[in-house]
Amino acid sequence: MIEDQVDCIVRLHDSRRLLELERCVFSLVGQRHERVHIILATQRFSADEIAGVRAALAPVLALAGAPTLTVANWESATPADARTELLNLGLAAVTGRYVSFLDYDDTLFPEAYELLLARLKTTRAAIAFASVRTVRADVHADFVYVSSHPKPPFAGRGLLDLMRGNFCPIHSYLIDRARLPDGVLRFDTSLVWEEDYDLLLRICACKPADFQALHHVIGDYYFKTDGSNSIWTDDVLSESKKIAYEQVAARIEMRRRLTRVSLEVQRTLLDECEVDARLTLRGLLDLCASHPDDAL
Amino acid sequence: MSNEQVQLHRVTGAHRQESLVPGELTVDPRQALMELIVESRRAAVVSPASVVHVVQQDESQRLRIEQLSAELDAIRFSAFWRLTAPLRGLLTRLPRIRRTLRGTAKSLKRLFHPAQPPIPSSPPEPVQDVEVPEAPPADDGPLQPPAVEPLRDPWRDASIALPLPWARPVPSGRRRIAAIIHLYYEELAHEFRRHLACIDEGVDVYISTGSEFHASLVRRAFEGWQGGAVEVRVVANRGRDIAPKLVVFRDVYAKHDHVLHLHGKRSHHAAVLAPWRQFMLQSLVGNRQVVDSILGMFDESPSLGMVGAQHFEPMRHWLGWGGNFERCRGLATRMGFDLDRSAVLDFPAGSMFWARSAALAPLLDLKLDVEDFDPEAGQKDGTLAHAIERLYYFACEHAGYRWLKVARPEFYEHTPGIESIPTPVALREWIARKPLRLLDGAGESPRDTVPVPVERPTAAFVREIQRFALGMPNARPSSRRVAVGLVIYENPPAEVARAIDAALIALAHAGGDAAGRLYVVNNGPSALALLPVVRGAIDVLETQGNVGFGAAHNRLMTTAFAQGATHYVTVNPDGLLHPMALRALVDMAQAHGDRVLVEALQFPREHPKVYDAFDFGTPWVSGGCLALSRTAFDLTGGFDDSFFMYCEDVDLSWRARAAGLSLKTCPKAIFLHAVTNRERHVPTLRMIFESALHLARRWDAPVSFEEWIGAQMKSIGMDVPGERPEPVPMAWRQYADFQHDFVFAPPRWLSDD
Repeated sequence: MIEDQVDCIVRLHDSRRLLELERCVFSLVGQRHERVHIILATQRFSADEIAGVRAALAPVLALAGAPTLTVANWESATPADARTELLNLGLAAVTGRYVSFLDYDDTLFPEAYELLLARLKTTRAAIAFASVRTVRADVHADFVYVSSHPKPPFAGRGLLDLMRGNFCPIHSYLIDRARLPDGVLRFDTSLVWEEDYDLLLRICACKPADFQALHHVIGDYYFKTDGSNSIWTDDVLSESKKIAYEQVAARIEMRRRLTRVSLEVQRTLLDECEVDARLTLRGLLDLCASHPDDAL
Repeated sequence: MSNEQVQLHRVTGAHRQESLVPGELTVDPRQALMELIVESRRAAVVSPASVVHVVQQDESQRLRIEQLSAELDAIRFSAFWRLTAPLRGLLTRLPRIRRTLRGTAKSLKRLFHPAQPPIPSSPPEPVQDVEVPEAPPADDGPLQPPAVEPLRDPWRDASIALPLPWARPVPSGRRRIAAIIHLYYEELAHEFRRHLACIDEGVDVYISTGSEFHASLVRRAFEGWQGGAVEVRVVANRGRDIAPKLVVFRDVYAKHDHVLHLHGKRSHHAAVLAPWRQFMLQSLVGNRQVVDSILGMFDESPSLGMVGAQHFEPMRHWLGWGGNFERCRGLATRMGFDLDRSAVLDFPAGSMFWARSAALAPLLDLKLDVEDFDPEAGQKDGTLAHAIERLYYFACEHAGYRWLKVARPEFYEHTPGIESIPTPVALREWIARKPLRLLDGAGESPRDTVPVPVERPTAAFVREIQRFALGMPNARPSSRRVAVGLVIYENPPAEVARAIDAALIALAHAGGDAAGRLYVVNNGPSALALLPVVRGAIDVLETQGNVGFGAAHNRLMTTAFAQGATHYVTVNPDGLLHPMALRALVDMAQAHGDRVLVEALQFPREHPKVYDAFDFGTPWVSGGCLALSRTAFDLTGGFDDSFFMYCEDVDLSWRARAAGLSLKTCPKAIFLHAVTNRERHVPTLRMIFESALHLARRWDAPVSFEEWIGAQMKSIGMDVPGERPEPVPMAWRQYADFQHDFVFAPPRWLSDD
């Protein structure tokens, strides 16, 4: 585990989206934190496609202090959408102490990792959160045109809000692997949506999380007008996806009901007399809902 | 606990689990999951999918609210709103006055509009410019189809695909061509020059514009024109583009065999029409093959009198007589023919087309005078200019000629009647066969339904005009020598080293036979030992102390251009050039004849000021990463040294526009600029306010803006300086914008975080 290294896992499932990928990687090149390792997790790319990706990224990765790059390709024919498998594939390749995620079409501001690392290094947290904006963008052949800046749809103040619903996009946090028990840092491959939220629930149930940097915006979440986002598109509303989404929502609720909250985490929220080794995430939420001070 | 919760807890027993490890499941989840899904479906009032739908609706509403907020803010921050604040306050405090004024207004309204029926919601008017000062972009709301008008159905609306496979360039001198152009927006002159350069045969250029100042800028844009004569005439703002073309330049037609009618249209009616001008230019003079094809058709068919563009698809459902039929009929009678309202109508919407001069004789022979045209009042319909626009093809036929429409197939998705013409013989047969006649339509019946509105132009068209604006592909990348300038002031050595490294890599990709160079000057007290060892391609100028941002760049620019640079790019040392950024910047500059300032796109957080999604025009350009050609430097003199730091780029931008230069954002040129999560210290605020005040006084800002800056200065304990710089000439002030605070331009969004 390389002490000061941030591993950033970038998912890419379409070899034609190199324009957005290159912007994404350039934003990582610009990080003030100097030691960044990009793990590009690709979905069933051919050798030529991988070579094409490497060639497209070569100019920006030739810049001084640029991150190193590892390409990990998901070879198996199944599942059709291996988005969650790609994350685990990336996790299998991490070598640094810190790990983060970034979708190929999103970007981070230069101080993002510097800021989140500072939070992790000055607290006992295993994960530190900041905020990201959303921007609405048209993706053209040669450039991306940001047409507006919608208000962020992600609103939350801290741990309890996160337990109620996910307001933390996948590139808004940094994880300290050294502080997590073995086995926690992996994605549930039976989930095709909310796999990142499921991971956050499990991490935050067992180790303290830091939300003090939430007032800092550290990156952009691109809502694209060509419908190529994996969520919030018309496609989501197809009947089959409605059913799948209902199943995912039920799975997430089950996670809340079956996942116990560590005493260490409970003590960040509850009085000592309320701490209970058997308390689940759902139980904690119910307990806090009845608490006179729900500002935690 | 609700009933639903009780049921769910019974299924999962989940409130307190005895056997769990934190963060992990230990019971078989599958059965529990299935039961939970069943139960939750029974119990749920709102499904997750419904939530998604609601969130989407909410998103849509939020966007609308943001748009309205932006409009409201634009009003709230406008000079007019500020100036009228005392009056509004007075009215608020004195309800009796308010009631009296409202009553008077109602009386006046009744007086001038007796028994007025409800005003129907009218569609955006397609066939005119709003010849008024720049208005905010029109609302891109749902398109409202008008009543059925007697045009052809799209599937019967024949046109010829361009380019023609058999068209060949014609040697110059074989005929005389005139481009007759009205430019209300003089800054478009160079865009037209680029298109006219596609006419290899040569073309005399006749341009009308609204003032001597604008005429001087248009002349400058056509300096060195090799294609023929250039004549610019100043015209009254009357009769839109029609009066200048048919009346002011009436003497031109007899001297030329063919004319090309164009004008600098900008449509504020609806966002979907924003690229209409580019559509017409691309369709009629988009490239040499298009021009050769059209002129080749005139050569092959002596009966051909006019060639227009097939209708822009987003426009088609708005076309018709509108409220112009009776006026058209009156004009037709004067020309010697009659109009049938039930017969097929067609016309070159936008009044841009190619024609034989003789085909326009009926209109020219009307001997119209500018005074015959309606005074400009922002009319959307019913003027003489609107009527004439609808009569061009009729006049052509009355003169004894045929007309046809051309189309670049990639610009259409809903226009099936585009036909390829493989030979000149096929062209003559096509013209003879197709009933493209209006005066004797041979029983052809017009459409009986309004075409389905097309909400956006084709992706191929958008890409074409964007690449045209970006200068892609660039035909002459070798003819450049690029210089990059860095002005350092106590930047961290590692930051400077990275910026220099990135600049050297970008220079290596910039193109040009001569190697680019990097010019550096240190405005700070530190020694330049911080610079990297690589010195071969770097010129380090002797420091002159902290002379300010603009002054330091002026020194670097002067040196770079004296040493043979063709382009100079300012680069802030707290940023990183993308390896391809310089190439993209200079490609764009060269595409605009180097009469342009081109800024890079700030990344990852963009500057909120607007830039056009099609031609990338922007109201001002940032000095953080900015390309200037030697021509631009000669015309502007670079930055104004009297600005120490901040706003010098705004001042340069406005002066550049007053010198006839365009301002562009290059979205292909990415400059990673570290501007996020920075604390803004009082000394920085002081510099910003001082520069903003200096800018305001130089450009004669409204008193309210200057007062606002003064209040800001006082709020941080600053004294408001008394000295006032020499103001810029009156004619330049049209380019200044003090209605949007420190953005100095309409913003794409209001707040950034």
